[in-house]
Amino acid sequence: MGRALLVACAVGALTLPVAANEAGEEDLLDGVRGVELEYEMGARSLEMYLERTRRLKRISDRIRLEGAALCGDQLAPVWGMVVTTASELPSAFYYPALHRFRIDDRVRVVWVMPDLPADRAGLREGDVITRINGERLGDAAELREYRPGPDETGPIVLRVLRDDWPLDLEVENRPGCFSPADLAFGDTVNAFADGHQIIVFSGLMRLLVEDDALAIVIGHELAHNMLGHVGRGHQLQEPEADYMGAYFAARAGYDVSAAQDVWRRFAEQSVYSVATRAARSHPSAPRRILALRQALAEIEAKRAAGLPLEPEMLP
Amino acid sequence: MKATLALALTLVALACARSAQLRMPQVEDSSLVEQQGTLGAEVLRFHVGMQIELLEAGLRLRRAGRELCEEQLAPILGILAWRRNDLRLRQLKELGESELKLGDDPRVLFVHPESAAARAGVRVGDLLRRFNGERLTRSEQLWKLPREAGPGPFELEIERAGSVELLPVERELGCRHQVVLAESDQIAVQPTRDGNIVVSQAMVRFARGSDELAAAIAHQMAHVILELDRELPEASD
Repeated sequence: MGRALLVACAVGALTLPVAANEAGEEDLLDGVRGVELEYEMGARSLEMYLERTRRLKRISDRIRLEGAALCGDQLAPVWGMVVTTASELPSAFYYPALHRFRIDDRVRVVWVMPDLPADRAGLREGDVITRINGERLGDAAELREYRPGPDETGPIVLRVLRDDWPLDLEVENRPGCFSPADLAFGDTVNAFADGHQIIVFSGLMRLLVEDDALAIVIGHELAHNMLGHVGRGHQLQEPEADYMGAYFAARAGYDVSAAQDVWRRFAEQSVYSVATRAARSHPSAPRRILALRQALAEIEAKRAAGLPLEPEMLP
Repeated sequence: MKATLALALTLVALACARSAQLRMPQVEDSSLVEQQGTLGAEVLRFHVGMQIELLEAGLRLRRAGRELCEEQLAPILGILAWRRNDLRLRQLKELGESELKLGDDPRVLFVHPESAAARAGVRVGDLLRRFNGERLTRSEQLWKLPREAGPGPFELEIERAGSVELLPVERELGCRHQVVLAESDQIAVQPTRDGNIVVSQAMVRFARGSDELAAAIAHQMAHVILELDRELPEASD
């Protein structure tokens, strides 16, 4: 009775509907069942986040592996798995992450991609990774960005805890372009390269549901990292990243022609980007579409001639 | 020896990164202009599409919610009409001219089938010239003048296929809250200080179907309606 009055005062002259549980007792929606609902929604959000992370990893690891020849010595082992710790997730996910995926402050394997080194080494979802080549592992980022010395081409030994039992697993060092891609929360339709990794926002992943489209963006950001663009500036960085990015995507088997649509969709986000250079000094969308078409023609010609898919370098 | 080589390579790599490294295919200016036109047309149409979606959801909610809005009513025409200058950028103005035939008079891009304007015979393509005798020179007049007008039907002067017609438009009232599009890529539906509802284009894409979109808009309308004790200020542009 007292609680119902409080509710009525807060929202003016409205009487909120109250839910009756199975015993016929009334209780307000923000009671125990509200907490359950919050947990369920957190769990579902987490599932969606993990699904997006898997998709991002699947595409980016493929691009990194197939692009290795373009990356010179800027290589790193591509694991083929998703790892995370509780500190990398929003606090709203804490309980669902803990109960459903046993994610805590240790480096936990959340997904293993079939047929890549982690899978072949026997790593499984749920494993906790504690050491890498004997050294204690600090956090998940350390594992993702691990680059052995140029002479260390042999397998990498990962110590895992599986149901609290320690195992040493030998993981093949399959080199790919060094910068991994990771997901960030945010509606913003954006992705960026920071010199050692690629960050893709969930807003962009939501817009680009097709793998071919996402591959173009990942290729573009990877190109920025591989060309050493970050921290330096020159006029042609964006066109170069588009051009090389197209090659990265094509080498990994993605349909580059389908991706012209990407710039149109970005343009739809902002009508004014059609004619102008956007604030981040990207070329205008029409210019990018045309450049992509020509890159595609070049790629198709090389494919037809049986030539390796490599961008043209300046002398 | 190895160290020197490594150092040399690093220096070369650093030097390379300072300037262009790739020989990219050139984009011709003529192709660019053409592509700007094609893309611009597509993007414009997409935007008009979103505006229409919001007009549809807004009109339905505003009309049906009449009784819930009590004193917060205003006439609803149900027309989407743009002038050339409604598009701010020069290139878009030119596209507006060529694709949508926009000029100085507001041109009707869409008429809601259940609206007073539809019943009055307003059609897509009509040029709107006068409202109750007053010349339409600014886009905001399209919603301001009906609110300032007295009771009784409105007189809308249109131009169609070169000839001028006077159409009597019923003064149909609905909730005053206009549903307006914002370019933001944040998924958001928000009330404005002047009692309108702003929907981001990200929200329009995000909503699966008109029901989801309408539910979000209706929620915000309820906020605006219930927060009644302050005088809503006159709507700004």
